[in-house]
Amino acid sequence: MRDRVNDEPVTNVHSPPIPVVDVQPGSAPVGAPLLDASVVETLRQLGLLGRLYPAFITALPDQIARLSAAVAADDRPGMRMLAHTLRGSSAQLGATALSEAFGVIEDALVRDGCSWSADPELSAELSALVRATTAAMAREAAATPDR
Amino acid sequence: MRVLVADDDPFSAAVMEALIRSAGLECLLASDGHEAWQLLQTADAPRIVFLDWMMPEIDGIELCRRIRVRATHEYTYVAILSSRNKQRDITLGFQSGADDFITKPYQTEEVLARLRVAERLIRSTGASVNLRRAIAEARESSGGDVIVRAEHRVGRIIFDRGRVAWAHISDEPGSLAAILAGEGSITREEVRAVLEECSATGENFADVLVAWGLITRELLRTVLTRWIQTKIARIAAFPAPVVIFSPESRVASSGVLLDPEEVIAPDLLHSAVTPDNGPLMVPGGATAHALSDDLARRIPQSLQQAIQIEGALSAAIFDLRDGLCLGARGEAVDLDLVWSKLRLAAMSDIWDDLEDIMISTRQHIYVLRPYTKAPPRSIFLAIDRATTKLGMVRRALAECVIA
Repeated sequence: MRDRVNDEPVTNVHSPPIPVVDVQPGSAPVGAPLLDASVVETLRQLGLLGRLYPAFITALPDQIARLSAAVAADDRPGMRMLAHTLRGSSAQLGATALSEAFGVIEDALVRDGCSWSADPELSAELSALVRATTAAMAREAAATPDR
Repeated sequence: MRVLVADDDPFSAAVMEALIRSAGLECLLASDGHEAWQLLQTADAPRIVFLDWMMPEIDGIELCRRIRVRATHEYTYVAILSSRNKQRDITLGFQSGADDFITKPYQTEEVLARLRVAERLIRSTGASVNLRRAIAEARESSGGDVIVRAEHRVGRIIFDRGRVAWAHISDEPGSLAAILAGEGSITREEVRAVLEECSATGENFADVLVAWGLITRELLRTVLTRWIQTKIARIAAFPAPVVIFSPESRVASSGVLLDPEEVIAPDLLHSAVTPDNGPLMVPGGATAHALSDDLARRIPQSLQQAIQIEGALSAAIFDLRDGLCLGARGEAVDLDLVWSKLRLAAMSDIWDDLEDIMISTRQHIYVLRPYTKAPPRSIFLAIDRATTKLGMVRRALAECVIA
């Protein structure tokens, strides 16, 4: 049986450099909310918000680091699986913009013939998005009493 | 009932687990396809399975295919979980043998409604009409065994004067002495001594236990209820069973008789939807949604109108969100049949394009039609094939609905 999502406290969140693929100009998510209010409320009602948000914030840097390593090793299945998981878990936690950003990466990986590059500008955008999202999650988690 | 969630994403799995538990069901988690497959090999494997499409080791689609080729296992309800939501993905999911396809991120109400559909289906696939008939006969008898056989396995539900005395499965351990010894409060030596006393005096095992102060009658009853409940649920889940009721008189060894309602699932205790002029609950843990005063008035009128259609045998209206039967008229309707049709109707994307669904058998035609679209309710009509003009029925039924 799997381990449950842990309850480690959130301290400083450092986002490692985010790998990017060649994506079409303008394909990065625009205008999606950092956190979907209805999902936040659902998680709160289920008593999960105070547990899952800190756990996600803690796990995210490692996940991104693994994605970077997969990119460095040109491990296509690994990249796709990680991007897919990040996309799904972000969406499930209401991090809509972040989910869409990982979705862009996953979709690019699915496309035949995609090539890899380190686009500093887009990488910076995603890093900023990760920071903004995790900060918003930390605020929501802090505002949710333990259950 | 236990539900398996196989998902390598711990966050999605945690949300699904919370939803399942909120529905009162037990949840097992597996973090990859291999672990899920191992859990599905166990004797008491969950019969409702939610599989993430993309997982390490074995993906959800492949796992679903493997589940479907197992001929010797009880039917397993499989829902594919995925953030893929394109039509071809959904089609591929169903082609792999899935019963359902749930897209991420999960919508709470949708998942809960689909869980209820899964629960009903599993209950109805195990709860054959014959089993329910046999139980009904046993309840009316002075005593005897409901015998359920699936290949080499034989389950027995032992009745005594309309109440349940015991349940047993041939290839599983199950003596009362072993159960009580397993409880920890009574040693095997004590059980052995009690058995010797019973053998010498002819007294009832339970009576001696209680008389010797080894267990209270209340605790004994609690232990037995739990045990028998579990056994009967497992017997009811036998795949494609042969079922008979064998009347015979015997003395129950435990000395404790339980009301059938305490140990048998409600759907096994109701042979059919009974004709009724008032609101009617469908067994299976359905939760009522409030009806507006207007709708509460309209439903009996609609049913009355429907049952007067030429050739109509039965009419019923169901809430598709939770399977609640809001009312019925006419002859009794087989719940298994209605549920199977409802499940089809519950696929909203089908309803979007169809006016009604008809299923014909040699003698009957069953027509399902949306009664209200939001929230989704459906009217079900059983008609006599020999005496009915189908076009007329469809037109007449269309006049009964609100949607």
